[in-house]
Amino acid sequence: MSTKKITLLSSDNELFTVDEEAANQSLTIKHLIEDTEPENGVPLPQVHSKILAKVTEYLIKHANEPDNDAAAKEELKNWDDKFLEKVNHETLFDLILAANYLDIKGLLDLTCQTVADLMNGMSVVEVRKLFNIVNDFTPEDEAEVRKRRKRGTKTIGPSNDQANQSNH
Amino acid sequence: MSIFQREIIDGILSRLPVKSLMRFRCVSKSWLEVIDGPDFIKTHLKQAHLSDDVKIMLNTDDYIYSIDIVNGNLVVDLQRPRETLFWSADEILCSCNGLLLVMLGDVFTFIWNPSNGEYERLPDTPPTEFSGSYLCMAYGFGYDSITNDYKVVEVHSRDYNHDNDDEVDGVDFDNIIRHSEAKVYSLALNSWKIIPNFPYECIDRTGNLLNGAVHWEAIRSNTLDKSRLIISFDIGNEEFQEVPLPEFKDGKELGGVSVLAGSLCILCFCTLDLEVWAMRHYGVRESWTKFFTIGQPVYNYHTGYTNPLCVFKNGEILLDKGGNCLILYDPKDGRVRNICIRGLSSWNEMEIYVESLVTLKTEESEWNGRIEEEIPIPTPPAPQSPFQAPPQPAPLQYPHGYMPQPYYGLASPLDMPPYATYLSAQLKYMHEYMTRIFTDIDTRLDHQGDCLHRIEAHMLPPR
Repeated sequence: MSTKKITLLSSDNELFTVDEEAANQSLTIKHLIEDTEPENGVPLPQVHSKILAKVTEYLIKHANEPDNDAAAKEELKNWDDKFLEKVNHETLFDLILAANYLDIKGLLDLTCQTVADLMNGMSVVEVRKLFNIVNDFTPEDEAEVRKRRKRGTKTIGPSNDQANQSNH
Repeated sequence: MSIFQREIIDGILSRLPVKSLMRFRCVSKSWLEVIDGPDFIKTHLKQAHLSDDVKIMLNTDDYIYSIDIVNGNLVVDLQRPRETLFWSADEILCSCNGLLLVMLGDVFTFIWNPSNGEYERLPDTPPTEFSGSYLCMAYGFGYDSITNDYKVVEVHSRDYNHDNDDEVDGVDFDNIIRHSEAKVYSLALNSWKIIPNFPYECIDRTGNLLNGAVHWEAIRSNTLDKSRLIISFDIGNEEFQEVPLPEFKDGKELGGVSVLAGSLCILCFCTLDLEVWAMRHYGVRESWTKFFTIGQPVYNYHTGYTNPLCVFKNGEILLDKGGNCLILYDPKDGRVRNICIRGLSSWNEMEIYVESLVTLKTEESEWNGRIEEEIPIPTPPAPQSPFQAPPQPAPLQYPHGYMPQPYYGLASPLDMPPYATYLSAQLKYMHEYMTRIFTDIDTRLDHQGDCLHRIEAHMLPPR
């Protein structure tokens, strides 16, 4: 199989070179290559070089996904966790936008899951801040929505806090 | 304004647990619209089925708990529907898309979504000639994606010559011919439909849902042939058929049906092991392949009860060993992990389910309520509260130096007369008190009946 190289051009005119196989994980890039056969790199005017560097890192790592090798799968999963470990919220959101635009299913799943895990421990106010959402409820409406919230459930047994305390 | 388009928001939110979503409904109006929207409910459900995030519901005598075994066996007390609180004899029958079919004391059937607390009581089944003479019942619960409807199936079977009690007693069960009927309830229509001649008798009490059909282990009714087979009942077109089975060799026999990892599976008893076979391509006999084997000592052939409940992505299998023992079993290396649930040691029954936002309210029922105008509810005639103590009888004058003592036995003739007076006064007081309470209860019941009549009169469809 030929290892044809594909050049990607970021919005600030930086060039990234990846194998075709890696690039094809992005359906957008795949279609762009098929349709236009660009010579001076695939133009991606919506993606900044800072983000594209991350994206290509992901594409190269995931180019040969293991099918049945459990150990390799585990290793890849650990790599995924590390990949987004030190990323700040802004970059994470840019990665989601890039993954959506470039149509990379694996990266979109990974980043969405990371944001969801992040939100799980957040309050409503923190979530509004994270997504830059202005609360458009009147206080009465908000109270009504909260009241209409379905009946809650109650955690019994030692909660996580208590478990942590007993460890000290 | 949000920085993301709708589909990205959907993608992120669909990965959140129901509890968090309920909290985030009040983030903004657009989020409320997203979370309550029917499309998002479906996306979320799809995501829940893709992930390993299943919950186990454990029913103890008094409480129903949900166990999250993926995230450290966290125990959550599910608050039961209010109407069921007085019933301890409830039975969780089946689950589908986060909804559970619950039966109370063999009388009422409920559909309940424990994640959002909604529930709906099913109307009573229409009477048939079978009524009052059921021998065995089987249940199924499923979703018809085409009509977006949930349906409940009940299969009733009884002896052919049921009325003749003499013959039933002490008869070899192999020589009994049974016949069956099925009843199908549709949530959208809120009504039951009867299938009079159902040609099978179900052995499983509850069915297994896969591909929009409920599957039971069954035998044919109306015949003496007792060979076991697997039948499927299509929730959509309400038709039943037999599922092709592999050939059983070397003394193996069919031990049950289950749905694991998205395939229809059968349990197959060998001499000492339990084999689980999966039908990889639904409906194709040739596609039955051995999925895994549960060997000794995990499979205890003495008790014979080992029920695989679900298969996780890492290959581990959740097994119910009976006797309130749950284990995770890895068939690759035979590793066993016991599941220890802190604060909970015994339960009566369990069911696997996913958390979902599925709502039981149809759009019409919310919008086009049958009670159109507000019915003025008559104010109750203020009944005398029974809890106001009636006037105390005048304090008894005891002879000088006498203190009334509790009466433990024969009193001396000397203090008998004043003590008897005291007792009779107390009795009179109590009698008066009880009479007032009973009259009060009567008044209240009358009043309630009156209210109900008036409400019913408004709700009756116009003739």
